[in-house]
Amino acid sequence: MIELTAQNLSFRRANHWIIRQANFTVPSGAITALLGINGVGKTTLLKLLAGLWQPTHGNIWLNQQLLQTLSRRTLATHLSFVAHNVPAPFAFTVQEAVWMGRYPYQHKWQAATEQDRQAVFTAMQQTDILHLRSRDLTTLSNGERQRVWIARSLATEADMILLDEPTANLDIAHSLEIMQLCQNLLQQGKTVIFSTHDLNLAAQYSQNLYVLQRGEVVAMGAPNAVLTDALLRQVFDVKVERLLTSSGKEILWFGR
Amino acid sequence: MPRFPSIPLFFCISILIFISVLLLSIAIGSTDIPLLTTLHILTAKILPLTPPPLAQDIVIWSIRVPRVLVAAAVGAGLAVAGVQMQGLFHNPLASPEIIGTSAGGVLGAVIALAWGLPHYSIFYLPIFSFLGAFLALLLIYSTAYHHFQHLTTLLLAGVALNALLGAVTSYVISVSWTDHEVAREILFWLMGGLENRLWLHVIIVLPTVFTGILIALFYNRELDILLLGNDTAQTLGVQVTRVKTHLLANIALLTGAAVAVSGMIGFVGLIIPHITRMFVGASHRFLIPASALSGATFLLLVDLLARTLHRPQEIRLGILTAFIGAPFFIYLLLKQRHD
Repeated sequence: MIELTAQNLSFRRANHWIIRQANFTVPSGAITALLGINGVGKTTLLKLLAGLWQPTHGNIWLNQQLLQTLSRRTLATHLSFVAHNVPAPFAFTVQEAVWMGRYPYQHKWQAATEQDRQAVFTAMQQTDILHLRSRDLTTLSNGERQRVWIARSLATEADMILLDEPTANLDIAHSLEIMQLCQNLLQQGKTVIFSTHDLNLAAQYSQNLYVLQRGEVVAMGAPNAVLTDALLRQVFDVKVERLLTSSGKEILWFGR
Repeated sequence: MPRFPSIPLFFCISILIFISVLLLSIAIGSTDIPLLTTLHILTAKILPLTPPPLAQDIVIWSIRVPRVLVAAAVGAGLAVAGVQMQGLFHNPLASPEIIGTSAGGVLGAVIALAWGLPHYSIFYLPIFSFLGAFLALLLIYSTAYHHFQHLTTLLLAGVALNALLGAVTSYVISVSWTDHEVAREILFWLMGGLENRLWLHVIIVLPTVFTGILIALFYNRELDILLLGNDTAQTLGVQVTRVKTHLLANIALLTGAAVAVSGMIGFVGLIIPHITRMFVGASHRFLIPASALSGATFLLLVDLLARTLHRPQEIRLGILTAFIGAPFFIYLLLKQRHD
């Protein structure tokens, strides 16, 4: 189990506060979705939580330890960030890309251990990319490539995976596939936090939501408690209607 | 992308080709020396054989061998500099001559020559070309790094930097014009190529390139990971800033060493990594040694052509690499656009 807590977290860039006074503890063993309009600071918040950027004010605690006091390699074994639009300019094979996830454990000139091999195999198995292992990254579809990046994250054996818009540029089937994969990760004791623009997807697959507005976390909690008509109008500037599917699930329909 | 069926086999074949080309380059020249005699002369340096004929011994040992070793080292050095550069800039068209690193090295060397420094110590020239290359690299890297994934930005920045450094080089040459001895020296060096390379040049370039290749290999995993972007590299535990600084210095070291002993030889750092990647893939563990071998073989072959196409006259090496490299560059540009 992992405990990641933001305390008075603020981040400023070019005289502009992108994140203001955020206080929360990411629920362990659950999927948390980060919502908000474009440019509100979702990516920034994820990068701060992953320890890629340093907060201007406030602190982030990882299992009661200050994030910035931990070494990069130690961090890499706890938190793994999957960027949106990872470049793949050269033709690595899928297997080579997943092996990169073992970097925090490997020392210079040291050969791979059995544990490395096992972790890479398991990561590819969980993301269902074993059959792609010798393929070049450049020949994969967006959905397949996203699975490779998640496998790379799993290979680090980090407890928490932070995904920046994992379903952007993906068609509906591939989006659902990625979300189902995230759900499967919960069973292995992982914690997942991801940003998205798809409110229905977030409501359907996550147990917890953070809604950002002007750099502040304006709402957090379970999806049905957070996604109220008033909040959706206030944050996203849309009207909402709730529809029931034949199987009894609620979906949100938006209008202006 | 088609890959070679087996990477060990690729290395065996590459090494065989490299050694054959090396021996051929030593044997062939303005006067051809039979391969057996060449082998005899070379082995007589190590084993107690009957002494070979003196005239041929001098041609081989004092003229051809240093030249060939310098060519191989320069080829390997430029190729490995290109590999690291493409990784660091995430840009398949980055290479020392295109983004002004070689021009920086040339400027550094010309300044050293203009001040007459090589008369005090032979190491001033390589040190100055290293500094020139490093500053040029730092300049282009720090000004607009974030835009370098975009092909055109990097190329245009390269055009600008090349023009600027070329102008400063011309200025340095023009103000040292009054001293004929210095001017002659600079011009001779600028046109250098690989003519009249001595053991001295081998001593400058060979250990430096060897060290540079080892440093690149030391960072092979980091180079792989850096290709996936800074965020990914950081989240995997790479100390991005430190590794990048070391790699920039290493690129400058290799480019500086190559420029110091051979002047401006273009396109090796562009062509070789591309072709090698097709055979061994993108993983730097194999790409670095494979590029070093192919770069060395390539420059030996080009030098052999330069010496034999117009015998007894020599064609300048830079001219030939440009003839091969420029069309290749345009092909890559079109291919990138297509992708």
